[in-house]
Amino acid sequence: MSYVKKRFAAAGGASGSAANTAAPQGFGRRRNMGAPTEKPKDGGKTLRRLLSYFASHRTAVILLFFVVTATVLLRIAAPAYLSRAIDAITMRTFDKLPQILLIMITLYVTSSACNLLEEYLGAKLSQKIVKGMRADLFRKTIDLPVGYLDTHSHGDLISRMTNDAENISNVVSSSLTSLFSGLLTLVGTVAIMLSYSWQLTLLSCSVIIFSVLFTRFLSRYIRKLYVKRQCLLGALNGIVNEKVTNYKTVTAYNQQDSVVDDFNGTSNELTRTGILSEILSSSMGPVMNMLNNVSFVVVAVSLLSSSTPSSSPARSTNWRSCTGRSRRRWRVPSASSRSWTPPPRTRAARCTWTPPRASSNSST
Amino acid sequence: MLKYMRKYWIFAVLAAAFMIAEVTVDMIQPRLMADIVDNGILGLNGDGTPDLALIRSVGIKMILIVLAGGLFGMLSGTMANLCSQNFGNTIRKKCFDRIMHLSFEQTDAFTTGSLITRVTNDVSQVERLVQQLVRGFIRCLMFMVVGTITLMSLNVHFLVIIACAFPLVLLDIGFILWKTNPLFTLLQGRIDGLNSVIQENINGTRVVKAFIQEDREAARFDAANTSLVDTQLRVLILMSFLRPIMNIVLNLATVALIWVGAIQVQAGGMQPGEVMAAVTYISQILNGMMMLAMIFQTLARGRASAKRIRQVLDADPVIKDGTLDEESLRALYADSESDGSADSADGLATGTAAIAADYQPTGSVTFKKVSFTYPASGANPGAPIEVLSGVDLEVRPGETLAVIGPTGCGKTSLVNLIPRFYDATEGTVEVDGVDVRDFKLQTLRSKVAFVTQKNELFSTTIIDNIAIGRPGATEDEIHKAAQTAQAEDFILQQPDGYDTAVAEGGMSLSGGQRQRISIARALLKNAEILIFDDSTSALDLKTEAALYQALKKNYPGMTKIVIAQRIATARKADRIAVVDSGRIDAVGTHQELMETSAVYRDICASQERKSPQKGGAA
Repeated sequence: MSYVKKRFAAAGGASGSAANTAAPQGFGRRRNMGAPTEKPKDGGKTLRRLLSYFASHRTAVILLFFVVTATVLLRIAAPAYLSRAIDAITMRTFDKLPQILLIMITLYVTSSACNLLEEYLGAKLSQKIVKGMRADLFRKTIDLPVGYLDTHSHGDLISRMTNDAENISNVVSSSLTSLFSGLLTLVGTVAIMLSYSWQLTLLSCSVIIFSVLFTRFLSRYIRKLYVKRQCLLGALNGIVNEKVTNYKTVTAYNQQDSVVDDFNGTSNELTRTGILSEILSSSMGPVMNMLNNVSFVVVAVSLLSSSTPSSSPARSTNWRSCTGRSRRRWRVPSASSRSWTPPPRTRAARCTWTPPRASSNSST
Repeated sequence: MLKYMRKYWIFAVLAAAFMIAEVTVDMIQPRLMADIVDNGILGLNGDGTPDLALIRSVGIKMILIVLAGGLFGMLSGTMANLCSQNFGNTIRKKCFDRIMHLSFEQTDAFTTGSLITRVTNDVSQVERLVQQLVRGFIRCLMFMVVGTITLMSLNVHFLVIIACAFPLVLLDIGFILWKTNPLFTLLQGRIDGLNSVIQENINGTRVVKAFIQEDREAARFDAANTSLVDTQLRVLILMSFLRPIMNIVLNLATVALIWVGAIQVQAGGMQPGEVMAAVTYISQILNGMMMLAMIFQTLARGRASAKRIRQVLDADPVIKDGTLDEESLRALYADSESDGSADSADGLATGTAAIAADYQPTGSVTFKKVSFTYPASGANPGAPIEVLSGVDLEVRPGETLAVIGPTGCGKTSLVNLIPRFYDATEGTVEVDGVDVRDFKLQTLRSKVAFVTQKNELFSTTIIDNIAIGRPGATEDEIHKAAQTAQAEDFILQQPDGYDTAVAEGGMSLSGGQRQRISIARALLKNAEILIFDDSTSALDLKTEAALYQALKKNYPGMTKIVIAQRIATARKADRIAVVDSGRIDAVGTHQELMETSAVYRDICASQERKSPQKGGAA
């Protein structure tokens, strides 16, 4: 038995089929040097370090926060005027309309301006942070003892500075603003909900808590897959770096095919991990949507079971806001909508979804 | 590139189909919700009291439909992922396979850093593009088309508003894309640049440290990092105009819609409820447009990446395979042995027989009027310079030929032509009496064992590094090769002996140790021709002498071509070829050359001056 063959048999598993063929290849196994699992030893420390990058751009962060607050407020205000406009049409008070529409135009234009400023600041901040992060990483790398570089794949280190840093950049630019506005919207919504009914708030919150728990459960698993995915990407980088750098030897010893086999193995594994992690994370959206809609029905049913019929219409006017839905939805006309006759005015006003502030006005 | 998609188009179709189903559910579901509100909670169709039974029945229907929608959503995501990632995997593998079969000049032109970016980062961008196209495009198209149709079915007057808003939105998208498009190619180029600096620094960390170049390198990195970030920022800032402008246009369209609607209601041509419905639809159209903007963003970047991948996939190896493989050569040789004529070789094309008429597998190398110029490339810009001109040289079977000459005279270029790392610009190189271009590359390279100047070790164990020489070799053969290479002593002193791991690039070993492992690898190959490209320069004279002695004893039949810097190394050879500015100055033994070659005498004189004590001892 040939030497390499024996070692292949001992290694078992992964390259089992290769071991059966006549000439196992020299590059078959890549020794996994360094720690295989790249879990941060101290999650809190990692977070603190990440936050310190934000801290060094404090003014930009604060500015961004104000702009986001403004955008969120404007975003909440605009629909209120929209429903006023609809009310004006329904109640045939057309003379009010020009004024409302003018306010709407002003709100839309300023909110777009704020939105622009928000995206501009977000982009600048994210790039500054990523630049600093990459520079620190590089400085650290060249200052590392030689022994560290000897025992770690060079391609993997390169991958960290480019692929991983870019991921952080994407997250910072896309998530920072949505995190801000999400938090603000959440706080606002909860406050508004509380002002209507604490029972319903509790019910809605239980849905929210359930979805948070579900997300946590799922994301723990997804995170593991993502870490594995980035590691495999690093390994792939390592293979390309090493084999292209040593291309002359690879060619001289006719090793191209075995190198390609090795690469394909890692690439396939990367794809498997990638598909799994993406399927799970792209399922989060539909699952959340489902939860959201189910909670809608649950709240609607419990609302009616808990309240006496006589008092329900007045309360239920605002029940949609109790489900915590951030997306506004008006009635979608059914097939019979064309023949729909306007109900008594007060009802019609209630029928439209109206943010709380506006609703108190229109019901007067 | 699209041909690699063919295998996965079914996933794309399924993803689109499930997406259509999900969007349909999304569109039905508000109706049910409205039903619950209007007829259930408010009881608008009845007597104004809530209808609990209706809420229950419609509620159950809604839950079921929502569950189905969620399922469709997940299935659509799954299919889109199966499609995009499998497609990405196929391109990635094809790309790497192509890289591994490119000729040296092409790999040089791409640079390692750029190849790394292309195989990983660019492929990810294309994956993202496919994913977005398969799912998002269908989704936003449905929202837009269905929304527009229903909107117009409500009242044709809305057509005017849409006709005004659409061109503005398209203009916005078009302008931003026109501005950003060239930036994406630039962006990937900047990633290349950053990759290259990092790669050079990590691979060459010892040099950086030895010359205390950390600050200079940090400055270089800083420049690459800044230019990447600046480009990325330019893209992001341009992109940040996309959404707000679109928002303004579409929101103003909403305002206009209400205005037109109000006029219509006032005139009695419309119901207020229809105005409300119209506002819903325009917000759906708005959503569709937003998604479209996002997709176009991915599209622009994905296209730049796809172009870069295509450059690799379309690169045709410059060095083309010949036709002669081991089997046909063996048949031919056996034939010519038996009846002394290659022409009678049956079963072989007469062309093949003619090409290989002089085939003798003995390990001879012949250069016939060989000239060589390095092809111009990214790594080698400027006017091409002729490195070798009119070289005639014959290396006899089994002999040891030393090649000596000043730095940059073309020694390495000369031996590079033997295993066809490059092709001669003029003239022919023959191995075993056959033009190297007629061999299959694999066959030719199996005849030559090459120890490169830069000793290339891989990050695996010492024994695996040697075993690359001949996969399937026995442990005894490996030991014999290592002993001959004078490597066994130090290998056994390593912590795990033969199983000691080697750092990437062999950096954990000394130069001499790396050379000896590379030599052991070459010896294990047991090829007809052995080439040392300055491969014993880091060994002391005693070890080197022992190496050549063992070589002669253990591998006597091999033809050995040894590029040497030291006269002491060269004079042990059977013959010495002196190369000077791309020409063969003289060939002969040490004594002959001392008399005939002025260049050789110069080299001798300069080396004796440099190390008088060694020269005196010898």
